[in-house]
Amino acid sequence: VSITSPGERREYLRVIVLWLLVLAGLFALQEYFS
Amino acid sequence: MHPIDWTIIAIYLAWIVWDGLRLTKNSHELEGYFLASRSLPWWAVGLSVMATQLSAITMIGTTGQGYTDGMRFLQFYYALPIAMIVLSVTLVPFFHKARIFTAYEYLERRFDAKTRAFTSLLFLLSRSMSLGVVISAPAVVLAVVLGLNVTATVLMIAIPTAVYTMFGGVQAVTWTDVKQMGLIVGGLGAAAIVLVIGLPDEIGVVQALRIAGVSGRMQTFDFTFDITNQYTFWSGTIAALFLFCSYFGTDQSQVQRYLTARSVAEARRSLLMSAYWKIPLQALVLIVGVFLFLFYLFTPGPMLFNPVHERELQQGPRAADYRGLEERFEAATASRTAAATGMARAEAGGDTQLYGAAKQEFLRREAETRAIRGEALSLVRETTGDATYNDVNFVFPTFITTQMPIGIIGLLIAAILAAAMSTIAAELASLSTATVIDFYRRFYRPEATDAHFLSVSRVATGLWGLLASVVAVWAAELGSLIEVVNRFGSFFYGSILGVFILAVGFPRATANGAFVGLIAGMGAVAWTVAYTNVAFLWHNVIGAVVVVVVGLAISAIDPVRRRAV
Repeated sequence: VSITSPGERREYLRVIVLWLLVLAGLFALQEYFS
Repeated sequence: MHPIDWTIIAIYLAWIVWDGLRLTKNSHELEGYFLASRSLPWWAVGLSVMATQLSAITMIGTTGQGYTDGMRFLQFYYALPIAMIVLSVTLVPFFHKARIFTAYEYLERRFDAKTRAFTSLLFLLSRSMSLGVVISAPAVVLAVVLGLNVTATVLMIAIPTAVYTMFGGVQAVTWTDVKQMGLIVGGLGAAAIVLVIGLPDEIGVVQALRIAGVSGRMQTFDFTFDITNQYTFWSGTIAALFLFCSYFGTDQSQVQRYLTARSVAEARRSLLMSAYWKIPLQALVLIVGVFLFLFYLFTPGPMLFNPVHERELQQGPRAADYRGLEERFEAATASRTAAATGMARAEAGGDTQLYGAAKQEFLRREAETRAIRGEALSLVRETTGDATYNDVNFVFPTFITTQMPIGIIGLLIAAILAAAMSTIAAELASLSTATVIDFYRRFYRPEATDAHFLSVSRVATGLWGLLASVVAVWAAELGSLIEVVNRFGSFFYGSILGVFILAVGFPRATANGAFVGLIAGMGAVAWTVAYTNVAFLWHNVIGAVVVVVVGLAISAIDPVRRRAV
């Protein structure tokens, strides 16, 4: 495993946080429209 | 179709070939032709990665799935951002440091020539077959909606793509991908706008989506753990993680995209573009399908979306049965429209009791409509002899050609062609690269000049294009095509991923261990396919795990390793 810089780590964290937000948003939409 | 739309399609085809050839630089050197001299910016590579993955099957099959099943197919993509992170920290740096042309070249450095040749051969086999299907799926649909024969539409897609890929190399592939991606997103956006405008005045977008939600089409999470169903949260996050790691990390058609990036950092950024945008893009494709359902909820539509089969049934010996079904379908859809309108009015008026009653009526009529459509599809299956026939792939193209304004029809057909061509070009380039680098240069002519390899590469691209076109015409006879592509891939994908996991993750793994593990993994997948009904996404997990376990076991007793220790 190769993470070369703190910037890279921050980018991956950003992807994970956004991913969780997107999943949460989709779940909320599913519940709202069902 | 109107001459203006034909003109738009002709201009698109001519422009994309001209543009592909115009942007070609340094394609007289091997590294320039295959890897764009490792000089491309991350955003172009990232768009090319996305365009390669988004085929015409996504445009026509996935919108059709949105129409029939709603958003649940989105779950398939939930693991993609995580797969991109995994690849960014594992395989991408290895590939870039190794300065390789193909992913399989790395396996020779780590293991031996036979493991490299075998995995590359598996790639050539599976990718050439699936390339045929990638051409065939849109060709079959376009043949029907444009009134041409399948061979003509196969050639309409394959020839321009093969020309700019042969002469322009990977630079042409990448830069045309960038523009094709723009056309695809623009086309989908235009379709979404026309569909929203097409809703009745009294139905707002939120109300419409609530009706879709009542029909189950807004479901994006299914937490049932069932390995025979691929559209669940668990399949999409666990099994699909293996598929995406394999597809983006070991399939030359994708690896070659980010090997063209200027640096490891730019290669990573290009992959992370998909991590950010793939789920929203796929949601756009599916929501277009959901709006197609809503459009036909309020606008009378055909019972069957393939006009050829509709005509055959109307004029054939079962015409009376079909007419009876049509009458029932018209009555059921009219009642369903009335119930949906009643739901929207009750919701707007805040009358919960009336809303509940209208909802129950809508669900009854929706089930009835589905059942009648199912009977009509069975009638087609009986008369054509195609037991798996479905018209899902025809929903969006039929909507385009019958409901869209002149000009937009041409634009959307061009967008479907763009989706097909961007995938085919990357696959042709990767097939040619693997053929020349992993076999021709490795085993037959290691010392030849770049000019010689370039000529051979162009011939190889042309021959793969020809073979894929033949497979496409043959595959057109097979009937239902959606998911066939992924099934072809999934037979090998998990096992090939397993070999790369051994290569990168286990220093003690030996060449013999990897090779035997690879064969065991494919055997395990073959057994699973033959004797179980495990959903194809899980085949990737089975293949990868068996390769790693068997590979490590064989490595532990491998005499070659004992001598080395």
